[in-house]
Amino acid sequence: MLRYVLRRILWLIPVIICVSFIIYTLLSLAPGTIVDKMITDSTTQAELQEIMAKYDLDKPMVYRYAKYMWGLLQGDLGTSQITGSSVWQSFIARLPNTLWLALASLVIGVGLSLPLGILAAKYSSTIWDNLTTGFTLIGMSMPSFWLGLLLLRWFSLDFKIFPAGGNAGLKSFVLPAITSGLMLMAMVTRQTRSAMLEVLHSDYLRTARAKGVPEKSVIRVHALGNAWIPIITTIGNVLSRTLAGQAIVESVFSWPGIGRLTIEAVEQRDVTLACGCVILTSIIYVLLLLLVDIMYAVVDPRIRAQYQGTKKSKKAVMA
Amino acid sequence: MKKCRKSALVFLSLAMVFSLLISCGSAADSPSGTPGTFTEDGQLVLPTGVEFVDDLVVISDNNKFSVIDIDNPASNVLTNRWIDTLVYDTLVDCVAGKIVPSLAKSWETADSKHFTFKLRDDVVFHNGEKFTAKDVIYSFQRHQAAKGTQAYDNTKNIETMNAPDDYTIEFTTKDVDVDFLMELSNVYTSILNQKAIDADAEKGAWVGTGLWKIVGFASNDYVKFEVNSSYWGQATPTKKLTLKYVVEPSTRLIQLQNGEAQACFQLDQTDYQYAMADPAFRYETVTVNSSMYLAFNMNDKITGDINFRKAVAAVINRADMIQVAQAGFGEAPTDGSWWGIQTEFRNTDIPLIKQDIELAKEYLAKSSYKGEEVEIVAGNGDWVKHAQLAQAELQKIGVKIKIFQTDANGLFAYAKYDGNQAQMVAYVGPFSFSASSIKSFLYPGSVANRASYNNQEVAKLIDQATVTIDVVEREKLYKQIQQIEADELPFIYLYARTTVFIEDKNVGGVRLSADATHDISRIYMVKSK
Repeated sequence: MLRYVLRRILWLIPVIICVSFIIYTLLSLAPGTIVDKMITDSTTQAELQEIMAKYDLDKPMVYRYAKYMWGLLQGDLGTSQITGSSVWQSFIARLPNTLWLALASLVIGVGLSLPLGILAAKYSSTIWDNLTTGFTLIGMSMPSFWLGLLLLRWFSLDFKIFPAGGNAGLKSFVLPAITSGLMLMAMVTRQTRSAMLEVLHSDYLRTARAKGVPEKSVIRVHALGNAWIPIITTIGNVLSRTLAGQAIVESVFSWPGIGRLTIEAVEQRDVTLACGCVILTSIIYVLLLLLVDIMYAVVDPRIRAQYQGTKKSKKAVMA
Repeated sequence: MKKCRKSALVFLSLAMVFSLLISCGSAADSPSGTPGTFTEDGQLVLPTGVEFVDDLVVISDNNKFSVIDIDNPASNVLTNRWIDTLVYDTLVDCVAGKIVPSLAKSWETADSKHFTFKLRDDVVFHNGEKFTAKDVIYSFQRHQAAKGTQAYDNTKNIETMNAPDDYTIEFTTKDVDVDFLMELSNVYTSILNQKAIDADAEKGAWVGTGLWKIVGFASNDYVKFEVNSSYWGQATPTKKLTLKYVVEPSTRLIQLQNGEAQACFQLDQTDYQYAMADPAFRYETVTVNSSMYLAFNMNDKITGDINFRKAVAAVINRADMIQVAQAGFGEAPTDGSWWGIQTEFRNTDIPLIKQDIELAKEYLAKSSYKGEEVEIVAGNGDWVKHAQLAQAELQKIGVKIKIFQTDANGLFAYAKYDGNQAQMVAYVGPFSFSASSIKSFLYPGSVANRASYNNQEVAKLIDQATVTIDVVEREKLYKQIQQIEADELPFIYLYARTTVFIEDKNVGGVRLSADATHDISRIYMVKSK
């Protein structure tokens, strides 16, 4: 298991190289540079050349990328070309906002989706199932910016319960967390329902019932225990997306997260900051997927046994 | 009974149509409320016998504020200008185009080349340091090193600086500089404190002598201010102020309506009607010098033809553009000069080419245009709407238009003086009160010269005008420049944008300015009884 985790972590190296190269190339190919919008209208061509040289924009992209990667090799993500602050610090300053928001949406999403999914599967083809399916369909198809604005309209303007933007205490988490949590909830509910439907009709559940195991235990222990894998996969995927920054939700709620930071860096052609944000986001993404893999082993003894089995069989071969 | 019902139905329908007409009417018909009461020298007259709110929140416009440092090129945005007006002071101030004292009590010059300023001796910085002439020298040297910034532009003509004593400063400019006082009134020429910057390069640059001191800042998110209790000038009853950046325009409106913010610099055009229909708000407007334009690449085969340019000028429908792009908040020109609406020496004698489709067809027939597709490069937002409307109008005379939509960085890279790839450009030209601001757009080699216009006679006239001390002579030169521009039409002036400042009905003390340096330093809000 440990070897597997190490191998996955080592995979981060090519991921970082690829991601940084792609984002660096794309930003360099995009029309305009960081200085275009910054300079004043009175700037002369000679002054412009001097400013371009300051940002190495008079040199080829390969040179700039190599310089960036050399810094990265030494653990330096560079400084924002706009603000002059360290990319790492800019990212870290915004990361807690995104982490808390992701956690809150996870609580809302998973907290609702599991009971709803189980309910829909258990009472399949009934009104409960139809209601849940309808609800999840709405959750999945409703654009988050629209849902966000609706929630703002109702809860910030009409009832004045929650603030309309910014990160100013616990209350300000509620609406953005619901907005991003609803999408998570919809996807996980559907996944839970289909996974549960599959196991609910299996032979071992029939046997458990025949043996007189109480229905609650049948559902909670035997059915859900075997349906975890696809559910965890869905949670992992949706959560990665949330953590990677939900630029739309963050924009609607003026939430100072990493999604907005990345978008702003791209808009301003701040290549160093944009690249740094994308690299760090990719690392989070890869680590989350790794965590999902580890969770598989935690919830499913068969997968755990596989890892142990591999170890044992290798030992046997060695002997 | 049936007749009665019918009449009621007709009455109801008429009432509905009437109310619809009222609500659909141009939002810019008449501003509501009254602007803050300011005296001619910029002093605010506060209402008496009332209580004031301590803490106010103002939402900024679409522009981000990434950094607070006058000498960082990233601060060349409007929002930074408003922040800087709160935090820093300049040697002189400009109130409605007139120069008035600020950190300098008085000044004198005999030749517009040698200037002597007598400084105030009762000013302290936010860090408690006393303001002296040495701070002026330090600040201006810092500005002069910051190429590409407004601070650099306004100080690059200074050749020598001398401080004979702590409260006197002498400048000698490289050339005669008739706009020197105007340049010194620009907020980007503000005075900083060396000790603060040496101690902390980032936060030290936030230290000024202004009415408000920065106590919190998050890039592209918010700036929090506290009132400077030892401010040398007029105080304000407000104690705390927050300027925040809200990305989504609808969220701005909601924050305004639910009381999270008390004023807002810009809403989405479609949202103005809701704020204006709400009796809790009023709005102030000012038409700013920035002019929306269509520029033609003078080196292009098609757009380099004067008859083609005249055909475009004769086809433009300015009223539609103002309505569609600005919800009615704009001012169309009444003359044919491409100039800031309140910029000095405007030549009002130049006739405007009004919309005349037949005339446009005549010009087009005389041009070398043979049915090719012509590209308009437009920055995102309002400029795309201008390009789309121009496209629709030009279709009427048989000109095929293709629109290339990009962001500001893209537009700047595409439509630049050297190697201009654009045929036509829909963008905005910010003018100041000073006529010399035309230099940015018409001078050969200037980055804002998106028409790649190169007329040596115009360049010579501009050079001459900037060193002509005699006002009457200078005016003649600038009017001549405007005439040549109107004859050659590298740029078509579409209209001047009107800034709308939405505020709670109890808010006052905001001073909007035609050069977009809006001053909210004395903003106040009266508590409701």
